[in-house]
Amino acid sequence: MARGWLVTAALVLVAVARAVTASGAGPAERDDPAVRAAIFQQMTADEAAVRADAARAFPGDPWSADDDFHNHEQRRARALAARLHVSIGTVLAAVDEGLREHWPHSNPAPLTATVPPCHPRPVY
Amino acid sequence: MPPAPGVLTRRWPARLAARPDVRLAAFTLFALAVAWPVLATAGMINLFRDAQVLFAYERDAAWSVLHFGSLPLWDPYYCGGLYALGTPQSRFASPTFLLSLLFGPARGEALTILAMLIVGLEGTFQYARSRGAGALGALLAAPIFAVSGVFIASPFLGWTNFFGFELLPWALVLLRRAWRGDAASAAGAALFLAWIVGFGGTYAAPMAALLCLYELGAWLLSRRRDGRERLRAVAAAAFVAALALGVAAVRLAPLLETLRLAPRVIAGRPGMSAGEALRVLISPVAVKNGNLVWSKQMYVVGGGALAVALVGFVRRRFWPLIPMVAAGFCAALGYTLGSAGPFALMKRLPVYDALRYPERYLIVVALALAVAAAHGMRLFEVLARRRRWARAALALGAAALLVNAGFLLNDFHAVAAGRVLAPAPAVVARPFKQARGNRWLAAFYAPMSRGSLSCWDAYPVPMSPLLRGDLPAEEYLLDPTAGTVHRRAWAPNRIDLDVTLARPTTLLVNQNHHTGWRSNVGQVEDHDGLLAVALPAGTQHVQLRFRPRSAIAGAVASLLAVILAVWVIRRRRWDGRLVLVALPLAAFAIVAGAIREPSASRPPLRAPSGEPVIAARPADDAIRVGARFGEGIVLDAVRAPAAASLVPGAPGALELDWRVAGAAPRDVQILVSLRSGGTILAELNHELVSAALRFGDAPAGATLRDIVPFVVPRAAGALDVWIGLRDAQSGRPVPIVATGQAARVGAMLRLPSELSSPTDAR
Repeated sequence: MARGWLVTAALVLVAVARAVTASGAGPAERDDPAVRAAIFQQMTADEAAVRADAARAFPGDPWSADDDFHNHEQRRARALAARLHVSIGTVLAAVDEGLREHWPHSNPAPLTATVPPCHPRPVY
Repeated sequence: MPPAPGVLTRRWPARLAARPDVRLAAFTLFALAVAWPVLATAGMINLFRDAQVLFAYERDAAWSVLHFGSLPLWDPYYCGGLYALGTPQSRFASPTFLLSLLFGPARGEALTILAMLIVGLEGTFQYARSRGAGALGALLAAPIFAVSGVFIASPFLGWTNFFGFELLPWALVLLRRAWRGDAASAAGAALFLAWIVGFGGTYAAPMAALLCLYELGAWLLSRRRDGRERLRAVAAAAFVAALALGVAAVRLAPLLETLRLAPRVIAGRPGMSAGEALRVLISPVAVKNGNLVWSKQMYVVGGGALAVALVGFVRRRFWPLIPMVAAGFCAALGYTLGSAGPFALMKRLPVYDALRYPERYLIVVALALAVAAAHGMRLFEVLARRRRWARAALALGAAALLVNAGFLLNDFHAVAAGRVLAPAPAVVARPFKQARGNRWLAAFYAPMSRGSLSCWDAYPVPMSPLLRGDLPAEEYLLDPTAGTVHRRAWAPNRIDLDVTLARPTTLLVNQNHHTGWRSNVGQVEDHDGLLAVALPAGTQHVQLRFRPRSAIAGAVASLLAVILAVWVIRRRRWDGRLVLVALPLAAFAIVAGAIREPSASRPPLRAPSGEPVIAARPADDAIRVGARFGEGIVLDAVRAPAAASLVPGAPGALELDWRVAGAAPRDVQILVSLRSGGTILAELNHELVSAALRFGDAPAGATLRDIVPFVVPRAAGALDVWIGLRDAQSGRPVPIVATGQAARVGAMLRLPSELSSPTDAR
């Protein structure tokens, strides 16, 4: 067998070993209902205002306005996760759980549990 | 440091480059060096918005197989459920899916990138060789395409499916061998073309088809005097096309079904100057603040590559590729060349009309430049045998290509370092439910057994407006007092329920409807886009299964075609038995004909506001106008909010009711402005009726409701509405031939506020 093939096989093994051993999991988190409730509060406090801004930015285009709201939401989720040293998944799970179980919130309007159907804009 | 001039003129460097084992080791080493930052972070997920969605497609498919033992047909985790095989941007219908299954989708993605880089490097080498370049030049030039800008940017953007372009040179080189009568290569070309289709994305497959046609045309031209060879090439092309369609059927049939039902709607006249295109070819891909510095700056090949490639243009054997470079470059300029440019002309073809970004044709240019650079090196090699100066030139050329490869590697690392990564989310095992979700973080939902209703893709994913992210149970009754529903088992493609009903009612599932869903009891229905089953009274065990006809018929055809391809590769001969290539396609037709499935109708076109675009007649309260533009476009009526209802800074909407009554230009710009006195307060120009429909595609005679949203200007008093049309291709106004109730001012119609605000008029 030509030595080149052995070198190739060895290099592939190195690649697989590097990919398999690359760190992936975040630190273990303690499940704290109070933290989740606080996250929900912070994530939803000004939802109505953010949605109103988004509607003004995209008049007559509910999908784009909703998408703009979700962009704001994801930025907030990432910032909150970093600040509270929790995973982004924990923040998103708190929003989901709070919406589903109707946790108390300080948003002046009922929270929205639906989305407009996907309608990508023809020009970006 | 350039290599010593004498070394490269000896035979051993070229001989080493020609040895497959040595070359593959060199390519693997280089690809490993390039992909190292991606491999080193393989356990993390990319937070870039597109990466979240595209990774989720792969992750959901792998999860379906590994966790539920189901084929990845239906993806319930995104947009309320979509046809996974029919999603243009998913890439799991590819051999690389095995890496996702073996190592998990995140680590598998990194290994996929490595594998595709190696495939692309060797493919570029082979293509350059088949085009007459020397081994040494082809070896040194391979990174010019295989690590060019699009592949540097893709890991950052999460566009792993763009690595499908790495397969292009393989398809071309095997086609060239097929023209010469190698049946095995013809089968191989078909497999690579099908792989390109399976790997997803909307650009690679259409561009591959163009390049295949180019190769065929070039071959036929080069064999003008040999009718037999020409005939053989045409037969080989037909064989490759039929076999590729057969192998790709399992992916292609669902894909075409999706594109037919939910076509991408594209507007705009993108383009760039020739200077910008040249700059893009030499400027590194760069990232700033979590985004590419310039979205068009992702096609770099490098200055060194361009310099050596220019030398290659001199070589006669490269000349057949010069039209390809020119056509690719001109296509990349888009509408800068006007409506007669290659990009604008291709936009008139089906499939190609859904390609938004002309600059992506620079990928074709990158491939040709890699071949040109290999030819440049070959020219130096030949001259170096006779002329002393050419030895130095050869050394300098080699050094330029090595430095260029280093430059591309460095750019890949810099861009990869710009990714924002997060640990892969932990899996939470619990019953599946839809959540409101967030498409910007879509990859986080499926691991916690949630679907993200928040949805984006490049096409309007068919979604029910009734989907909810807060239901206590995902399966429920339309009439809740009619009985009870209990979930027994759930998987992406199957839902088992115990239903007890005192009277007939409709069972609703909090997922989108698709005609591929079947039930053992009752009748599957589309309940305003929601999956529903009309059930009789009584106690029943309802089994819902997703078994779409296009996937089943496609799978049969693909299986047969792969068996046929393997048989041809082993046999290596052309003979009459190769008419068997029609068998997979015939099998597809028979199986598709045998499976009963309700025909899916295209949902009505809707404006972004959700209102239907096509109506039988204008609304009763609309003000009649009766103006006519050119031969065929009539403005029947206008509906505008009453002046008293306008609140400065708040949203409002105009409705223009158009009708196509004769020949209409294909691309028309609709010019709308709101004016007060002589002052323009808002320009509301647009290209598509309600952002959904071109006049050229509109049904004749129907009312086309053009809903034009706006924000009421701060200084609004009584508003005049000005309306005009402009032929987008010529840039000239479409003449007003009848003004109706409006007044003509130049090429525009002016509707005074009394006319456009019906409440005031009353």
